[in-house]
Amino acid sequence: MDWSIWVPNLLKGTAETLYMVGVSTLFTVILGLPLGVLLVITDRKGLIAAPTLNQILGSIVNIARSLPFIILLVIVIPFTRLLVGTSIGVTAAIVPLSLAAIPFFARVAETGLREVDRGLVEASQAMGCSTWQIILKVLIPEALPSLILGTALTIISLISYSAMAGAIGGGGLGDLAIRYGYQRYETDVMIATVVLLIVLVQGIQILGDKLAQKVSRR
Amino acid sequence: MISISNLSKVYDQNGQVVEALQDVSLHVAPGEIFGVVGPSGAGKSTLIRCVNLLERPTSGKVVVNHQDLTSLSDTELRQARQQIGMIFQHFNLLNSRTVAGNVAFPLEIIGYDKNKRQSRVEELLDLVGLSDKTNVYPAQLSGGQKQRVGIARALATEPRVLLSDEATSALDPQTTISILNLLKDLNHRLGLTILLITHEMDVVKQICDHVAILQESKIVESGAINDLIVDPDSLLSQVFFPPSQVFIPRPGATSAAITFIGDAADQPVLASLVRKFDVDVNILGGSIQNIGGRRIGRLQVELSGKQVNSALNYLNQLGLRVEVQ
Repeated sequence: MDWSIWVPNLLKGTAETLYMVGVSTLFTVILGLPLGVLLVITDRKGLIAAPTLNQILGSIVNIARSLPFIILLVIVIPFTRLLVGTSIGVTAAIVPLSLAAIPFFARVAETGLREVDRGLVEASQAMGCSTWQIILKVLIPEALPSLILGTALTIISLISYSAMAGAIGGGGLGDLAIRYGYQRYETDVMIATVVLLIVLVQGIQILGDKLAQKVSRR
Repeated sequence: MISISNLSKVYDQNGQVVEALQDVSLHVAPGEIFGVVGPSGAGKSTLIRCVNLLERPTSGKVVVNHQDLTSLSDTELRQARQQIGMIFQHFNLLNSRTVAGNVAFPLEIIGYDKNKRQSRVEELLDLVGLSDKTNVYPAQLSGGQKQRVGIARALATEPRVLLSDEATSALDPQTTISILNLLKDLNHRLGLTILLITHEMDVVKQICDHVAILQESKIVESGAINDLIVDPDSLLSQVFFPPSQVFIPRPGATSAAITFIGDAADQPVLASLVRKFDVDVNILGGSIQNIGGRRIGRLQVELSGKQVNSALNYLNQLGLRVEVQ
């Protein structure tokens, strides 16, 4: 096989994957973290107890998470067209990717935030903190190591989802592997993409671990 | 300074009604150290949490700094809480912040600017003796040091009142003494009013002026330590001087318990007694304790001789408490 053709292709695929995953991660954290916070504070014993809202949010998250990604991908096509104007391409893939990852990350964030000692919240209340101050100055900073690890976990899930998105014309490394590696029996391409994906996932995990360790003061 | 009247707290625990506090009233005067003691499950934690409304009482009134907290709006309550310091059994420090960051936290909440925060933090760390730990994280501190940070944090906004929720219960005896000494010192130097809850009688003995005993959701005894300790019927004196076994006096002899308080505890009272009167004194048992910086002792004696009654009168005149058994 001719590497002078494949190297640019692989680089382009990697760049596309990074773009899809990167932007989706951004949306996921921006929308998923508040959702996770809401799940924690609206709890029956939470800062602003609202059991009904909590149940509704919980159900939405569960429903979204029970859909297999490949099905979600198809279901949201009209929504994707509405937002992006097309359902094909790398940018279009960001919509289903974010929609799948937001509820996932919300649960991961929820778990991390719940680990913050109840006594800390109580102490902050005793000092006269508002709910906002408790969220921004206590809950999130104290849960930061877990949130960072959760983000790494989410990015890794997004990488694997993005390969699936590739299957319906999303582009990226997954697309490359399917079209050339699988459909055209180019085993070398398949191996190359798999190696790249492994490196990517390892890199993200190592980075996440390092960062989490750095901010953890325990 | 703190006035709690007719406080009740009822929980609904899985359909079961639990009365955590029943008609509790207590008054803490400015500059006083007031202890609430009782076994676990008596309602102490609920009581102290009702003082800054971390828990809302079911009924009753809570007045702190002349403010009826139960009538305040959320914003007003937050402002009121900023003037009530609180320390905890498990310290509740932010792990993600340094010692200085923890102490600065309440100052951030009330909107101090950075320079003002920094100088106040230095002042506070100096006050609790942790100036050398400014940039250390709580995970690297010992329990006693963590509680000192907790105290510095609680005092950051210059509250007049400090609530202490079992602040020494997670500490070893040596550290407990040093933390209690610090609290006593702050009480003297800053005129700080302290309401503390504890299950350790030793804490009461060491620093409290007033005590209330909480049992099964009710206050069963309340008063100044000095008054209660000399009252043989009080629960407090029975804790410190458990009733000794009842001695059946020898024929012709009188058995008595003598409580020494204050100056009398330092005097050789019995020696002068036998010199002055025609009596024999037989000591059956006794103990002496340091309570609130005063020596208080109790002796179980047996008196015999012709002048037993006059001798007992003499003891009464000296201001000792004598119970004939």
